[in-house]
Amino acid sequence: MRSILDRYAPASAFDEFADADGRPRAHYEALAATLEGISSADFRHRVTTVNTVLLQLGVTFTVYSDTRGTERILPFDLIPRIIPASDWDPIARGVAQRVLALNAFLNDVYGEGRIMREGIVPRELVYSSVHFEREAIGIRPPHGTFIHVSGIDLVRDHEGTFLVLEDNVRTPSGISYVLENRDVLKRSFPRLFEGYEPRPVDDYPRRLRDALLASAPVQAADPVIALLTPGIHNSAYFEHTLLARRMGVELVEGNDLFVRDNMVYTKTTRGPQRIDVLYRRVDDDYIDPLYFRPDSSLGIAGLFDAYRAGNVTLANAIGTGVADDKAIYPYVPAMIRYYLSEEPVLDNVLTFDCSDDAERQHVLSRLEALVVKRTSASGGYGMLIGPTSTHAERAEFGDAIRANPRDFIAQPVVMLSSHPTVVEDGLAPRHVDLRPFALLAGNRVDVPPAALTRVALVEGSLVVNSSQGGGSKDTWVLAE
Amino acid sequence: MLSRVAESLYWTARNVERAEDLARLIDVTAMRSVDRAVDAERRWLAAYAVAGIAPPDGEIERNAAIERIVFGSETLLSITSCVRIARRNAIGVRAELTTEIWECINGLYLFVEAHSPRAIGPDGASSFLHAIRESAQAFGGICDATLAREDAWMFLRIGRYLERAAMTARVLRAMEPDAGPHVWQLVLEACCASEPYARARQQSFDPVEALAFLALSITFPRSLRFCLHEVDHALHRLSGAPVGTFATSAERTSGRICSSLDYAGAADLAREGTANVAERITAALDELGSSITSAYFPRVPVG
Amino acid sequence: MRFTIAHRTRYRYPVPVHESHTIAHLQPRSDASQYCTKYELTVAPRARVFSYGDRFGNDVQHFAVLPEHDTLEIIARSQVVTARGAARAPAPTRRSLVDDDPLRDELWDFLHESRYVRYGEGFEAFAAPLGVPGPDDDVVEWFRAASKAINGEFVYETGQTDVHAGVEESLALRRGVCQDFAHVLIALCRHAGIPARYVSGYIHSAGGGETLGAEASHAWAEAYLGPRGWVGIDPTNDTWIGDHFVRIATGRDYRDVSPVRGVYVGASSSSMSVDVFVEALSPVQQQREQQMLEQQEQQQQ
Repeated sequence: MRSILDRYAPASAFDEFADADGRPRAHYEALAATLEGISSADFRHRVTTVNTVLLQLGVTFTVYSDTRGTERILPFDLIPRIIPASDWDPIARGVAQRVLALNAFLNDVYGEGRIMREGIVPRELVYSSVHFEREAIGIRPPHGTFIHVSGIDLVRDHEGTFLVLEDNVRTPSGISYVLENRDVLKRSFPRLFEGYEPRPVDDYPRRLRDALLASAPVQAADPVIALLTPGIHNSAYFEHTLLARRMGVELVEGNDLFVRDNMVYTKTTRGPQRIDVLYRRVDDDYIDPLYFRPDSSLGIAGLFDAYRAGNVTLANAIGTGVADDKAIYPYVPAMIRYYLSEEPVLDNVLTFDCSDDAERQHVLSRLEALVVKRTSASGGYGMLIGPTSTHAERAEFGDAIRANPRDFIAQPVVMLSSHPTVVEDGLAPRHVDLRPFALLAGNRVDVPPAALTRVALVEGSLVVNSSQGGGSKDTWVLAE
Repeated sequence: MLSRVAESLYWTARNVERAEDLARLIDVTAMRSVDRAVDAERRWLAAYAVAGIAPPDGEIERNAAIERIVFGSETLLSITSCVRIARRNAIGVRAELTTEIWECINGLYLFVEAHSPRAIGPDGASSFLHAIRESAQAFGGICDATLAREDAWMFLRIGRYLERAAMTARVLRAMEPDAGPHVWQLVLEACCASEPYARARQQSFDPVEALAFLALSITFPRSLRFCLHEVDHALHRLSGAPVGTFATSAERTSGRICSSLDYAGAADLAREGTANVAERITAALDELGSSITSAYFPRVPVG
Repeated sequence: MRFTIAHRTRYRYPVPVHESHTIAHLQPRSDASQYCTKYELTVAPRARVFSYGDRFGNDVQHFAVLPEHDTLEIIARSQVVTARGAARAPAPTRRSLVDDDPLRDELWDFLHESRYVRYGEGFEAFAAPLGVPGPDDDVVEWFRAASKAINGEFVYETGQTDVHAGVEESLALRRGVCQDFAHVLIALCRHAGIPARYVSGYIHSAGGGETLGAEASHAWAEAYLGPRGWVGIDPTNDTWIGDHFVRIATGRDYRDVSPVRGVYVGASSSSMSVDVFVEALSPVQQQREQQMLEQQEQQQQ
């Protein structure tokens, strides 16, 4: 029998599975041994079965650009990504450090503004960020916690070094895939686990609930949490229902809530019920039509008043988006030194700031070699991948950069690490990233061993976003 | 429970029940029309009336009726629309439903979406309708088998029985005053009452008895009286008020309809006439629907 | 001067609405140049009124009416004393203001475009004749000249622009109301590198003659002139802000300080009416009041 590993040939990037000689790395040896005994036909069959199961379970997301609003599943790849403890420990420390610094930054820019007055982060960049919420100036959220939940996107360069590609501190999603992927793989392919003891991921909802409870306003004796969703048309709606169920909290939409005397209540069949913590998956812009977008039907009028009065915890707090603005990203290492007096554990990817004249000139002259990103965008939208772009696309981005330099940054192409992934005829290397999640309450950061690996299913592609043809893998963080 | 969630559960159950009842009605009407035991055109017009869907201008015949009442996408009242509405409501309360309930409703939806009039062909209607009915009944069964007897279950129950009573009333309302035994037979079958009625009343067919069975039976689960008692019971369990008293206007309305049925006899109904009984109950059910809405799903926050 | 002010805003909804939430910027400021001695906000249907201080130092009220209602009436009553002294500090040059002021960085919001203050098409052409002050020019003079330029170019006319008009629209029409005049002046200042902000308030037709904007709430602009602090000009009447002006709130533009704004649930449209009464106490009344105060003080001693 021919093994599906026979023709696995990593290309130029750092490969997670195979070393430079093409031999499985130590932490993949047991998996390689199991895979030796499985035919590619068997594999393809299992992939189809698993994806059908996911569709029936309703583990779906909606693609915004798809006019039919079709539900699709995020393709699940059967080959797990394995992270040894020696790799995970610095990741967890680095992520925790970064989140603490970003949280301190938010306390500062909405408070005294020291870091801007001292010229470490230019006020210009903060004040020109579309996610800088001026209404939130002067408001300190309960316990000073802004970023209750974050997802930090990491990639590995050609030497295998983990680098931070971007921070997601607004309403990062993806944890439902982590939970479901583990369930599905355990159910459909228990054999793969032979020889491994990955750390469990299923206590994430409990850890999230603990962090949210610890973030409740101090005066709330027995805090009630609710999860606010934009509704069934949101791409992450499945995740919202899953987290609500697993945390045992009410899943609410804007119309389910109202504000009376600066307190937030749900409308129930037995009258109003007080809410102390709102884990909200609705963006700032839509959260309160009175203060933000007046045409929003997703929000709750007066919610911001309740927040300002300190009667409700919003997780994440209002205005966190300024911290993951891509123009602010280059300053995160400086923030870590400034607020924590520590050296960054995880490095940034080299980044050019297009609002700087010299850097912009450099970017414009080398567009075909760089990745250009819109500073306010996320989810893989609004990007130019230089090496695979057309002349017309480059011209379009060039014009856009010249017109609004503040809106763009550029980075060299990071050749993301590759990982064996199921394709038509066996396994082939496909590029992956890693999104660990961090939970913050007060000064305590929890980085559960529940990280999302996204994989670019198209050969050679470096874009792993679900909206751009990405898939996901179960990710095993190994204990010592 | 969130008012929106309660309302979605209520409409999920109502639409699943409606899909089941319409599927049965269309199937029975098609079957009975084949051998010309009844006036086919008249029966299809009655089916349109029960569904609340306008008949086409042209010829009234089977295929057009199936296309409109089963698959019509321009109306919210067709079977496929009901299934879509039910699933839409269920998605919005996904966190309240057990996985098995969700899989059932999602499965029904995927099944219906995968079919079209052309796909089922001229001979496939019956098995297609049969499958819908089965799924819809499974929905009720899974709800009963997997949900705690708490608010969610109550609202599903209220929706199911209110819709069922309304469908029985509408079927009666669509009957002509001079309906003969063949039409009555069809009506009984449409209400799944043919065999239970035969067992209960072993004498020869009598329209007065048939009407009394569909309206007043306290044991047959599709009679008006049975359904209204289920609604009344669930409403009282929600509010905690003892049966026979009322805490909300909804219980008051349901209690009134129940007692009007509890103390009526077959002769009273015969005197009133099938159409009048059906009209009266339909109006009362509409009132009950709005009083449930204002008691539990108010637009304006209370207090 | 001493003023008694009543400001009534009334909304009517042809079809009842519910869950209406409203924010009011109606409380006159208390600072070095004026003092609000009394302020009261009443709402019908009744609502509990909450207050907070915003980042511009304005006192803001907000309230909610949850049950269904088809009218909403908001009445703000206040008493204000104004006493603006003459400028003592030297007039700043552009060099001292623009290049050397350490506070400048913190005034970012008053130096950049905002929702209603965007330069837009036609702005450069309009701003060109005025120019920008030279490094050693007196910025106070320039500010006054900018106001004069607007006052000369623009026709005051109600009903031409709505409250959501920006600078570009006002410039195209060359007409508008006090809000439009103020936005254009702010744009000229910011464009020239001078921090400028929007002021909403009242003007009393104290001096007799024609005073534009006296029958409603008024608006003008303030520029940050270094050692002199924030200095206001009313471009609608082309005059410095004197004692017959009452300041309510300041912000980047109209959006930050609109007297009343809100949201509600209901498909209904609404109609709004506003009545403003600004009454100055006459010299005799002021004298009498002064005597009463003195007597009370003596009794307390």
